[in-house]
Amino acid sequence: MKIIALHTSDDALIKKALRNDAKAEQILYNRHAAKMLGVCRTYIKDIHYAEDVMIQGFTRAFENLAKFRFEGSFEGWLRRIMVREAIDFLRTRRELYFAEIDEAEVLPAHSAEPDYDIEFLQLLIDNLPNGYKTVLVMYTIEGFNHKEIAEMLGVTESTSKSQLFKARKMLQEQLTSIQKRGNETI
Amino acid sequence: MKQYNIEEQLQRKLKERTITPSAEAWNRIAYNRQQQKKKKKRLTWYWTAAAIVIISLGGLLFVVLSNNDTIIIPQQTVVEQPSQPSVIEPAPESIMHQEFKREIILQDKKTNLNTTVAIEKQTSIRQEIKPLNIKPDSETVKANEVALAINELVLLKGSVTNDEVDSLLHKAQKEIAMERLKNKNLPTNDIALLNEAEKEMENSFRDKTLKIFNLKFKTIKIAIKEKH
Repeated sequence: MKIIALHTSDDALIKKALRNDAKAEQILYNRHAAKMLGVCRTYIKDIHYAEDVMIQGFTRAFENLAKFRFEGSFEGWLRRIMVREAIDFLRTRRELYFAEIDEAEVLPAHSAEPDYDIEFLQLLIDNLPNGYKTVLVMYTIEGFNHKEIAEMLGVTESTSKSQLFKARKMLQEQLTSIQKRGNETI
Repeated sequence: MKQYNIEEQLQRKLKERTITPSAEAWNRIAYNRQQQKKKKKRLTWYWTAAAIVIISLGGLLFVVLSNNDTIIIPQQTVVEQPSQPSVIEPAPESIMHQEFKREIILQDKKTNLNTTVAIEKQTSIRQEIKPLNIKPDSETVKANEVALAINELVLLKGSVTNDEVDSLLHKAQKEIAMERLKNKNLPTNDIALLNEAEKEMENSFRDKTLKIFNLKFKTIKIAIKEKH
């Protein structure tokens, strides 16, 4: 029985795309688009704007494909581009600002919570101000450290830390109020 | 009920979340890509055109500058004519060309580093022309010989008659005509050709001989005139 290899690696597709192969670009898009839209959505509340940012991100990625060094994963590289595009989007719409907070004690929230569904989690972070949300998502979901966050956002490390602290505090407050309401209904 | 940390839940669930984009999303990306490629092509053309213009201008400038540096010296030309021996035509005038030499003397003083003093020397070189080796034709030689013979007669006898001059001229004409026939190498009637050649040159040769005689031997010319 003859086995036909249907899956082409990202690296091979990138090399084809670098030779102006539009089909390879489309395959790369089809492979990563859904995940990248998910990334954009965590930062941007409106799904249509999130899609616009994703389109812009892919366009930029294909334009700068020659800069991809094949050292890490293509998905990781693409994800970074999407985060930058989302930050730029929020900046241009003047939705991203970072209030200076005196209390900058960073303590991870250790409280045990029930297993929430993804929509509920998204709702929780959507309720946070953009400045808090962006730092929380970058730190918790994307795994950037404060130095990287500070560089990408153009703020100081202490600002990044204080934003995260405030985001956690607000998140905790939301969960507490939900739990309270839940107990009242029971 | 199992309990989870909220941040751990955010990371686990939102990091791997997928949302299917709308159908037209790819078309928009493809359109953007086309526009980028067009722009890139246009830029490439602009750069190519700019490079061609710069190279052409550079080349033109180089040619113009190199032409200004060289002085064209007129060359002596050798003109060959079938009937006459080779004659070297002289250059129109003695040619002067100047050569500018710039000598830059660098002086490195011990106390300070004032360096350059430039002295411009101008030297002119006269290009000498070698004397031209002009070979006279046979007719002129003969005319000179006849003029010399007339002069000798005048010196011996004190005067010369027209008949004597005519006979000398006639003899010289015959010799010239024979020489010409030899040069032509024509196998036809020699006497007819000889007569024809003599007729052709009769008057001109006579004038030429007398001119030479007049120029060279002025004093005798006066004596002949007086006698006539």
